[in-house]
Amino acid sequence: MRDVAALAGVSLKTVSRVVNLEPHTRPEVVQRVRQAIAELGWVPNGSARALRTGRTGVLAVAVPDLGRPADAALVQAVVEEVGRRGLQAAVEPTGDPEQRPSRLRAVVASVGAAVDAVLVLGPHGDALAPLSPASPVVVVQGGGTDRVDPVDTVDSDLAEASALLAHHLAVVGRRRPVLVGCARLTSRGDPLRAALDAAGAGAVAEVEPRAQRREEGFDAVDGVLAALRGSGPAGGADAVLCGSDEVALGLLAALDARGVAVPDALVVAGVDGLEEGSFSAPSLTTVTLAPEHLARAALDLVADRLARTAPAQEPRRVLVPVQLVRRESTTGPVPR
Amino acid sequence: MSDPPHPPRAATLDDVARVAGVSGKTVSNVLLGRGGVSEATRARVREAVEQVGYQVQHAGRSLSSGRSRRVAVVVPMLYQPYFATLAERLILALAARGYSSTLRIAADAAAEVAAVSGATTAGVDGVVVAPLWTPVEELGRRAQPHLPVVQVGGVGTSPGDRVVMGEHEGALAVARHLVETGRRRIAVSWYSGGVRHPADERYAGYRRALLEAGLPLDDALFVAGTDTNRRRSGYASTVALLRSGVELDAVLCVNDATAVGVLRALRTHGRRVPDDVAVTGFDDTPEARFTTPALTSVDPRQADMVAAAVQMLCERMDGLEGPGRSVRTGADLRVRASSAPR
Repeated sequence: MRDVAALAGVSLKTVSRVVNLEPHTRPEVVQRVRQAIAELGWVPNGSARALRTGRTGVLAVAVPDLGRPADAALVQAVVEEVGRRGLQAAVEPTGDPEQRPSRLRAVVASVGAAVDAVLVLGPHGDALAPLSPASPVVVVQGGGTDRVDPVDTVDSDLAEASALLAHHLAVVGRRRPVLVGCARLTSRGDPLRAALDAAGAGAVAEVEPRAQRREEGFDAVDGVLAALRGSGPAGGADAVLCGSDEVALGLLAALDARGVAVPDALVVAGVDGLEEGSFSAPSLTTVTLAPEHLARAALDLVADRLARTAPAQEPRRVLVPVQLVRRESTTGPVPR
Repeated sequence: MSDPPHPPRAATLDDVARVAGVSGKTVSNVLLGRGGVSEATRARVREAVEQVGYQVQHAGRSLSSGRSRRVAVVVPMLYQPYFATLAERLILALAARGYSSTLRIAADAAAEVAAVSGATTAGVDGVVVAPLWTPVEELGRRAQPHLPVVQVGGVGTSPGDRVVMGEHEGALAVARHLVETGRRRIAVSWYSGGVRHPADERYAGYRRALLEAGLPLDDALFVAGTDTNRRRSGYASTVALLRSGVELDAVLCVNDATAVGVLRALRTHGRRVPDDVAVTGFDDTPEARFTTPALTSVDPRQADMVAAAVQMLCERMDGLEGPGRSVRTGADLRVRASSAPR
């Protein structure tokens, strides 16, 4: 290691930072250290597994659907963060829900061979069940299940997102929301219902589309209009909370086509913080999920696992803060 | 897990195969993370690797061929839907040919050049790049001599292999459509700081349609912004256009994301789409069908572009020599409400 440091012209501490994938080392320094390591054929101490670790310098990033803007934004942030740490990202699209478990298992099986570690973005079913917490596998935004994850996880603070949305509805005077595709907010102890209760509001109907895309949001309009126009406990809706911005954007397009005024007749809010939402008609109130922050947290967890500095017996869980962005779909047009 | 005893010489793949009781091919399949190997066999191979202290020579490099079967997919960004879907399609098409991918986001011209010159793509068998910041001729010239590189889209001509998007015919079709539906003052919202590149086929298509119809090319109708944030750039350039007081009845946008910004600017300035102003995009991204109103666009047949690019790259990686080739794909006009006749 002394030779590596000398050849690269850096301190021992810097070499160790590069080997352990810690952040805050300039990319050109990381490159120099890696070059020196390669030139000298130096191998860090440790078990046989750790010997291989850091040799590929490749992190697999398993992503359900790059065609979804929320996924793409998260992958962009992860790939940039991986690059900042002098590593390569191998992005593995895992396809539709039926194929996903087997593809995930294949990606995870390549740890220690083709890749050093895996970031699993999105839900993973039981594909990761056989893993131990010590595995260099981290789940980001796995949400939507009540099961305890076997490995380290990073999630947006969706309880906080629920509280922000419920409180904002109350502020704009709405108490009877329809929930469209809100499973991510109603699982894990159902923070959304609790938050609505606390705000003196309650869901009048729920629509659960097959997927979180614009098409499904567009198609959800009939269910939403039934709740808007109906009477009794399942009617009189005055708001729509969508589990994703994509669904909300599809719904906004459909409401416009049906001549329903937003926010006068119905206020609409989403979750994700997509840039598209600031250009829609009307612009979309949302909760932003800070992809850069999620990426940084995930890479920190991976680095600990590769360096074996984290407790091997228990998975860690990191919650990343969220922020409400108020726009026209709940507040009405803002004067130019 | 304890440290294995160090063997007197470096362990080889054959040592691993012997201890695991499998073929060398199976060992390499496991080490490269390929499918078709049972979980039990994988475990056995892993154990054997640990036991003999075998070191993988290089990031997933196949020992027999000296090739990694890994391809670098290089896109300028993922936050624009066109490039996200392009990257996904390339990765899946390469996987179907038995290649794994490493995705690079090249945020500027230097990063694009570094990717094709091998500086940031060491150990890959080939590179597919969707160039945005560097003209394709320069990128073709800067490619490492023995590294197969295929460019997808981009402006200009290249000495290497490339797929040429149906830019000219697409822009021609959408501009003709605007002329045929009675639009006469057709503004363009473009990229690259107002430079009308002579090799920009998209701009040439627009120009040709106007000349065909005997309409003047009015500099006052040309606005451009950056390509890094297309929605914001479309918004800002349209606000500037409207403030200039120039008369217009259509905005032909260089891509869908720009059009989304243009739609927003027109709406917030009291112009009705399509009654007062028609708006069109390019790329036919998923966004286009759900704007208000739905956006007329051009489908550049991205699946065809990807298939052609992967085919050419695989041929090069299999050793094909010879001069650079250029495959031209088509484009289809998708008419929606944003350009409905008045």
